[in-house]
Amino acid sequence: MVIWLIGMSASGKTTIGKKIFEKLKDSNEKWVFLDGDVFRNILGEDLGHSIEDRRKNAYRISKFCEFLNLQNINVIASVLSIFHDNQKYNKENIPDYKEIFLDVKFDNLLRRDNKELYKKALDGNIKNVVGVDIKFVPPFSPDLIIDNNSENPDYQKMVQKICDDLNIKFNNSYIYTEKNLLNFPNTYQYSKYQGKDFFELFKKNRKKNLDFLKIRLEKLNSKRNDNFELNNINNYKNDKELNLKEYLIYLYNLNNNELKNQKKTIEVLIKRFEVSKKLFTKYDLKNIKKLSSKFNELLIYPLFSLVLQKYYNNANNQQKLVFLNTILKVNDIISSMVSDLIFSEEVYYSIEAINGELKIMGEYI
Amino acid sequence: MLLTNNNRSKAYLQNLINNNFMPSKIIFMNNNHTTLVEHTENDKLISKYTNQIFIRKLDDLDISFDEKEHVLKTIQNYNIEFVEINNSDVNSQEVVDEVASIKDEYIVYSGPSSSILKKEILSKKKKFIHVHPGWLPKFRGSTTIYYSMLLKYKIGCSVIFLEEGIDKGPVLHKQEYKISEKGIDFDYLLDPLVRVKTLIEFFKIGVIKPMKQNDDQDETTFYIIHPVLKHLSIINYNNE
Repeated sequence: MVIWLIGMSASGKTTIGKKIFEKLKDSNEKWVFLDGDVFRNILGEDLGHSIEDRRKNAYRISKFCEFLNLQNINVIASVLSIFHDNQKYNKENIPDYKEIFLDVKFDNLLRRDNKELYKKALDGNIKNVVGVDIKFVPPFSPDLIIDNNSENPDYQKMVQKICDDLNIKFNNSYIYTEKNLLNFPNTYQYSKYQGKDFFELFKKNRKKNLDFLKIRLEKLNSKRNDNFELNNINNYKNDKELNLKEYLIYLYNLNNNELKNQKKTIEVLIKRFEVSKKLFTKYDLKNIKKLSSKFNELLIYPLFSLVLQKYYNNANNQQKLVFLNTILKVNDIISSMVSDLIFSEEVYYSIEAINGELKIMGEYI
Repeated sequence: MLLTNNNRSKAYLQNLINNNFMPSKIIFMNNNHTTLVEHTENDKLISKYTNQIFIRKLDDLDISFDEKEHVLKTIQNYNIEFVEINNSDVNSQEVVDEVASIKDEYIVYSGPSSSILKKEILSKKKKFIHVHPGWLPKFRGSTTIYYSMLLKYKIGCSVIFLEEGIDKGPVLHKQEYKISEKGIDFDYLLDPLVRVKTLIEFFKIGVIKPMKQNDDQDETTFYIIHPVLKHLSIINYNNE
């Protein structure tokens, strides 16, 4: 598909083109964004802004879009586009060509004229400006006309309308569990906003992993008859060390009142996890600093998630968010390595951890 | 000022200058090998190949900055004395030495995201002025704008002196904002602009009166927000 965004200078071509690209670039399809001005520059600024040069540039962009489209690379092109013969060429030569006209009143263009292009042209200081000394005639038959006259445009809605009206299909995925997060930790810094559909992607991801784990558990159980009770262990520590797996089993079996006494330690463990995105097998008792470099005892992760879920249920709204934030990250780790879970205990408690998380998320989404 | 080339620094520098608060000297931490997180591939292409400007504007607060203008360009445009250090680690020896050598007592800090000033740099008898985008002590830690939104609080900003504990230094000034504009980018627009607005208001008051933070049971340290909660925060906000 080639989405050809037509509009005069300051009509919002680049902004809207970029917004569409932002929405579509994480889909399973390939998308590129092509800005008319950038394209000129890539080719060495050998063309000016006269009508002849503009026509050459328009055909270059068309041919390039055609070339990319033939290789199944979709294009969003933001182009001033004043030539109807060029638009006709596109329609005839580019399969799945979609034309959008950004309709903005000249008064509003003047108001948005940050580059003072129109002002300079109206003052007679520059020539070859479309809308002043070069006439702009809107495209004859665009697939969609977008009114972009608002002072505060709702780009999210605009992009959604464009995708709906042009029937643009995109298969997004939940990107946060694609790699094994113990090997490739995610800092979650500046994570991208992917719109309302994101929750569906998240739920779909978790449900897919749940199904996988349930099937695996059935297979494992057919070989051995496991009992998943975690026995209360009170010897989770010695004078200096805290054994995390045993400590988490201990907490998992505590009642709510008893859990309160351990809250400080859990808060430090959250802090440690948030820094390293890993849980280590041993910590020193005094400062809860790691004493072992081993972080691949996989049962620890679902147990930590389940213990945090117990704390979540008894926390105030502010603290709930801190617990939930870490639960989501721990469960991302579990989801990113479901195929590495091979012991029935790990599988069973991972199922519990994801089920519990989805139950909590049900309160929000 | 101690800064790196990020959106926050651009917002600080351009607006401080516009309000006649000219920095006496700038320590610029540069690392050409570091890609700025706030620039998408497309932004970078467009910045590189065109003369287009990127005005990030918050109409509610009547404040803006040009994202395309590199801090070095602003520094040079206004002939501000500066030193460039090719290291973006705020705790590196080069930065520590430079901080120690400047005459001024107060340094406005705008370093890389998630950097924490360690003992050595804090021991150089300077006061680092930092704007935290959260109401202190209630909202300590990272990405607190999103958490404030989720908990239906107004956006708070606190000007503090940096100390060793995260966001635990004495508070110099606090402000709250109720932003009605929808569909805005929190990370690259809202965050730098509410911070600089607060910084300017603090400078306009012109009095430095550090107030120790009263820790209460209500205090919480937040960590970088998970994308699910981030989406929840943005969607709730836009639907309000």
